[in-house]
Amino acid sequence: MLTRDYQDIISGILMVLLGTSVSVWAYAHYPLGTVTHMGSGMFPAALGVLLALIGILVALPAFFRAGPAIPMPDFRAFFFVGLSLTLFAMTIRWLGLIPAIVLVTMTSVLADNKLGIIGSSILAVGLSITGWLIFSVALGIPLQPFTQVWENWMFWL
Amino acid sequence: MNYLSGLADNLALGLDTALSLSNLYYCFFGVLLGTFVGVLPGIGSLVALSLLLPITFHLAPTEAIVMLAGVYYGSTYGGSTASILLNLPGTPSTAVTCLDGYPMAQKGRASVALFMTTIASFFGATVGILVMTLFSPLIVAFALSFGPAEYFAMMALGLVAASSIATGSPAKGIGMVVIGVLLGLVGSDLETGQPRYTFGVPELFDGVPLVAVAMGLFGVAEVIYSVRVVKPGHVDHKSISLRAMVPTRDDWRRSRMPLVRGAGFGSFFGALPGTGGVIASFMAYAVEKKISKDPSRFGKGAIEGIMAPESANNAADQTAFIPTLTLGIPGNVVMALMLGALTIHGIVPGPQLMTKEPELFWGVLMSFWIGNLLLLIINIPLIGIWVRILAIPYHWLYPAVLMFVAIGVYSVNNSPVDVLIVMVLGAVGYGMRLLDMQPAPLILGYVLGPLMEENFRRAMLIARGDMLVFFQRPISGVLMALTFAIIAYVIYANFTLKRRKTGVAAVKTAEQPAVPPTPTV
Repeated sequence: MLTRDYQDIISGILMVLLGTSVSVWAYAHYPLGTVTHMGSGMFPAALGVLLALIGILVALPAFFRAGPAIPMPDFRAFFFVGLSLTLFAMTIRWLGLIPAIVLVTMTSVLADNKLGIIGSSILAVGLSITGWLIFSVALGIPLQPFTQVWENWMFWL
Repeated sequence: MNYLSGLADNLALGLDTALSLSNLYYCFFGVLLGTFVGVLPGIGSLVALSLLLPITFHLAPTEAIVMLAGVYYGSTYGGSTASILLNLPGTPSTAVTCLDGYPMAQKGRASVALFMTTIASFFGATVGILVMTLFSPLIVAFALSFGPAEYFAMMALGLVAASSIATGSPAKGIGMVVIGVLLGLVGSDLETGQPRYTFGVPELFDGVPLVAVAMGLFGVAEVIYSVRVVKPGHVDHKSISLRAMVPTRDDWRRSRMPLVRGAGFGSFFGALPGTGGVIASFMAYAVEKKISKDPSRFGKGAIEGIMAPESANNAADQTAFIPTLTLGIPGNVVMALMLGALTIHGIVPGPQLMTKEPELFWGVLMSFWIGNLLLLIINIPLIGIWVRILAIPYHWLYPAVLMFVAIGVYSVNNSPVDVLIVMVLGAVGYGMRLLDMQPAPLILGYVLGPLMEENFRRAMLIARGDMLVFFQRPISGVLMALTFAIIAYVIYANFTLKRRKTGVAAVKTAEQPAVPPTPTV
């Protein structure tokens, strides 16, 4: 327990910041219109103000009560999970479905590093087959297992 | 009599639809998968539903809803299995089942507990479906007189109630709703076509995809959070055998009334927006304990303590569909995802759904019955298999979850940018999780946001900018009064809150210190 409820203090402040910037952005970029004929900016501008007020309501009492400690972020899991999805997005068109799945698996297992290289390889092969069977075969989504680029590259070896 | 004969026709139509081969197949698949994810600690029905959401793009609307609904109520069946065997609730609404289910397992009566909760679940669900069948047409008849003011007021009430009752700090919950509404506004303005908050990214012109929001905030954030937290369970295999499953005559006698009362609580709370299975199951348990002749038996393996909450949470699962399908207003997050799945197919949920898409409405309703029957049949022989599934380590599962997220999101629009949006939302969701900002009210707000804006603008146009219109019309006036009453309570509670637990969470900590907090959403 901490002397102040820092979780709610930070949440409240974030809400105030988000609300204010949403409102200011709407006010600066979108027509507000009148209450009868509302423009595209009216609703977001009003909601932004509302969110900022709620943020104050969340943060203010939190200064005066005890709260739990904020858990330590798991940066390793955060990094490798993010990286695996980014690699998938980058390779799905360029290399094809199977290489993208292998990349997702081999990167994401590093998040907790409990599977060794053999376990990870088994999982990668298993997931490649499962993913291809479910999405390409069963659901009939046109996803190429390997793209042209891949075949050309194999040719160069 | 007109009402009853019409009902019979509709039920026949529904049965016809539900019994078609493809609907049966997706119903079976849904309940099987639901039980599976319900049993698994670390993957709940929300993660499963968000993973399945992209697949529903490639199905017919009825099939999609039948399957998603099957996952939803199937997971409540599975959740009680984990509660009884591991003292770890597979889903939040089965948390209270730990209290007496786990002591029963420790006494070697796990099989009886598993068998009886399956019966209780089936009974509760049946009552819930009956309530839905009888009341939905009445609610629809009532709702057809709703104008934009009533819809806005109804949505406001639903959002405020959902965020203040169902989660931790109430003001924070309402804040999350507002953030969700703002997220829902990203994209082209429906009336003027002006792009809002797109920052020049063309992929955002149609809005942030629901699939990406659900998968990012629930799927990916959950994986990052659970990687080092979730441990596989260890189960004593001896207490689980088919022969040990037979309940005694005393068990049956004690179970009868708790079943009925539980189903009553569940049906009522399920239909109210913002409450649902968690509150219903806790209420049912508390009442059983209160009216029992010997309350000291509770917490030590009393069969009433598992029958009432299991009957309640399954009844609530079914009646939760009433506001979703008849009014188009989701009472909880799962319902918001269902609504999203319908909208993806161009079907507008609301009072017109029943008349415009009778096959869908009654077919889905009858599929609930078939799904629950299937659950009854598959659950009892499969208990042994579920037990083995509990031992799968999480580090074998989460890469599979990520693969489903990636391919699923990509396949919807063939757009790598959508995968990146999921990654960003996953990171945001993880940060929110660390600050105890709940994603569930955010998704509700996200789904209802554009509808709220549309109805608000329309109401203002009709009333020539007079805000008092929300209070002058009788139905919307009552709804707004309720909304403001809850807001007043939230402000009061916000300043008197000493510990950070309110509502359900407080009941949890007061009554079951032995249960570890569930990692499942």
